[in-house]
Amino acid sequence: MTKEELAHQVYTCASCGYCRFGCVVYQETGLERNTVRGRMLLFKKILEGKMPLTKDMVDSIYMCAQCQNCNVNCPTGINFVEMSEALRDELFRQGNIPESAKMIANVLTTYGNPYAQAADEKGAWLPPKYREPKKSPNLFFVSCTSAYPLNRVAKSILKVLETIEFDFTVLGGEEYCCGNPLIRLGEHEKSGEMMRKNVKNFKKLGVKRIFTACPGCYRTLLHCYPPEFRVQHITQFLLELVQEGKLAFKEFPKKIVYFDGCDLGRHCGIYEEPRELLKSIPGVELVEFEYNREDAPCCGGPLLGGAPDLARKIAERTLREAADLGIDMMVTSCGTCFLTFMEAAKVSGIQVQIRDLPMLLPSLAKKGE
Amino acid sequence: MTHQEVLELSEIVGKGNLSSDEIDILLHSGDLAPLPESLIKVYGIKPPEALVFPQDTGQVSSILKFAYERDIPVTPRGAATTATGAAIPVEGGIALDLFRINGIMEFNKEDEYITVGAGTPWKRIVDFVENRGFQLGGYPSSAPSATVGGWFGAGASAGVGVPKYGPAGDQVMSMKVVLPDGTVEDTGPRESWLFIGAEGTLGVITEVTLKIFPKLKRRFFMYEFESLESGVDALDRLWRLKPYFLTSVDMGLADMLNEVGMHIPRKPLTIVGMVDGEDEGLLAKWMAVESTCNEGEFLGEKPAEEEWENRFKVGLSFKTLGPSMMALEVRIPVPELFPMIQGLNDTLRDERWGLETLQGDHGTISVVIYMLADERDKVGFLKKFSYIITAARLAFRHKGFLFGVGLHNTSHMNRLHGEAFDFMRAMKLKADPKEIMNPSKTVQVRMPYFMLAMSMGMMRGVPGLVLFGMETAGYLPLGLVRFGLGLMGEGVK
Repeated sequence: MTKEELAHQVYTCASCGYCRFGCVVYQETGLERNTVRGRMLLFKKILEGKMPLTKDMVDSIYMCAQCQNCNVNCPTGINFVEMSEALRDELFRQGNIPESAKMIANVLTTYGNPYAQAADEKGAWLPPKYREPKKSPNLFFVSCTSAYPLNRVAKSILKVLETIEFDFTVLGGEEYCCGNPLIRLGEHEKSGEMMRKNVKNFKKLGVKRIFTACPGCYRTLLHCYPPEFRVQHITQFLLELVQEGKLAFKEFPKKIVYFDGCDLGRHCGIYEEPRELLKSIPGVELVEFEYNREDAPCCGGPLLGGAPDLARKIAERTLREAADLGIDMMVTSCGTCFLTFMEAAKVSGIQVQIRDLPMLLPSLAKKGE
Repeated sequence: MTHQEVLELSEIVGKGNLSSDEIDILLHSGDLAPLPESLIKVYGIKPPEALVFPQDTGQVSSILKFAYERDIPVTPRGAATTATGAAIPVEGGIALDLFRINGIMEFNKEDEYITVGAGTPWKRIVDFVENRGFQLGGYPSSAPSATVGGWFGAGASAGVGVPKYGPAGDQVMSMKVVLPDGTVEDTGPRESWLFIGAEGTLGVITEVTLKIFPKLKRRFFMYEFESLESGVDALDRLWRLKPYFLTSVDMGLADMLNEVGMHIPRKPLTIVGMVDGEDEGLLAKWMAVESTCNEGEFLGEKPAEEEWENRFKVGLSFKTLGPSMMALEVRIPVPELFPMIQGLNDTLRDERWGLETLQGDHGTISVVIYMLADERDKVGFLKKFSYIITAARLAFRHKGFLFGVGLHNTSHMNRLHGEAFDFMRAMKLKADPKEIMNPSKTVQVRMPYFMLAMSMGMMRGVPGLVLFGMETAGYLPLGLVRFGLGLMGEGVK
């Protein structure tokens, strides 16, 4: 986005405040500086030379979960996520980013993952037979989240695929971060290097199709990688197997509410596949949140690194609504949402069973007939 | 306010509920319309010293008691989505943001009512009741941002549901209102009307209990009209059928919307609406709509339903063409729409403009006139500003009223209301003798009419000179500017 395009967006804002409706940061803080309307007024002052770019304004640019809910409601079509990415790129180049963002960027560039774990340990969770990547057209791109804090999700997927004897490969210790967290912070050099290494590995193994359980990786693989690979989120991939008759599930009589994460939902438009997959499990009764699909609130997860208390409070709102629904469990298809909700449930004491969708499946999966 | 007073206030509401940060003060003291700095100076606007977020009625009461004892001005604030300046604090003091008095407090489906906090955005309530088989008797078209307290404060005159159920204020069963001295009053349906349209000058609305109605079956309609006259004639007969929703778009707005990717018929007038009812009653209404619009072309239910679904989302998508915009909202009797548009065609012939209407109560219609502009072109912007004021005068000639008074329209009050203006003024002084509640609004004239009329005339002819004058005034001492305006009379403060 050029400076002229950015200025045009600033003057296009109607100050109507519709962006406040679904903005979880505003809902929690009540401050206009955290809304698109507020930021546009400040940017206008800067453009007109009436105000310098202050530390408060920089913090405000990063105090955004980039969930895109503001864009859903904006009657003038302002895409603040695109704007904020352009601004973050520039601020990163200037080294003018908040301390918390600097720390995260430092961890990412040092370790190659956001969890400060050793890169060569990324495949440590794998059973020995998968540790050496083999040639296959199907690649399970595990992601940093599923390889480190949430390897039970990756193990669940492995079990399901073993149950139906599906041919695939994993990169193990040779899988690099997809680049998404650094891109979101405004860094492009290191993230580009990570992407190039991944692409080289994909080609070496003859990969045609990539599936991943991480919506952030899915979004990046889909939008930033060469289009020669067919990229699927795990819910799309497993639903396809169900529809092809290769995968089926045993009875699971539970009342479930599905939570739409932002990367998979608003950023990639995937709302129905996870629901269809859940509905393909016999006995599942699916209910909905008051605001779902493109209107769903953000879990707060993207703010866990920079503003953890705020992120927890945001997640608690959804947990309280889930608890009031009288459900057996809340299911999401995003590791970040899952971890954020687990953290908020632990701190707040709100009693809700939470699962990342693949975690439900190992004991239910069976070969299709 | 002194620093000590700000500290004391923060003890009343809690540290997390008060900000005196420069950025927060700036962002919580404007509204929809950008105010040039020179105009801020001419008005003598003094920014608030504290931004406060009360959490409940009790805190509002404590804040007002505190302010009343010390003569500190208090300006209540919803989402600040009008362009009248009603939410702009003019004399410093406290900006009272009701955002945190937000949410559904009671939902009673047996007795069919709902109690909500004044800071709740209308869309939250609409979604809540509609997902549970009910509907509201009236809500604004700006429902994603407009708050309950803000809309009632602004008059709640036209909106969705209003043509069917009447004025939205009639749906109020009770209100909790905090008076200027901090007294908390529970008002019934009749007393509540005192505060509806008062723009927070008589007290602060904190909670509202509203009637709700069972959601009935719905049918949608969309008609295009080859002649403006026949379209307006249809509108004037349609509202009598009590539709739940009735809106229209003229060709100017259709052109602008189509330029940004929408598909609105390029006709003098396109009407979209919805009627509801039970089986036979609904069919009868539907047939009546068809016979009423027989001079128009029926475009189907599906596109009308899509318009309904997107009623909050598409309205301003054309603004990017400006990228700024001037807007004027007036209320006129429906039959006046035709001659008013003819007048606008003449007044705004060199401008890119269009309008939409939303049906109000008692056969009145809210007309929103949009004109593209670019605020970066200061001289051109000023010239366009004069056109929009001329459009307002045109609306007055067609028995029109402005939607809201706020700060900018106080100059018109004397002329519009005559003796009633003196009564309103006396009422304000009785309710708020110290004049701390939203001062310089509605009945306190901030800009003499003579000055306004003269400026508008000059803006058309010599906008550069007016801009120079305004910017020069910006360098003069504030007291001198206000003294000069005070000499022009009309009770200017």
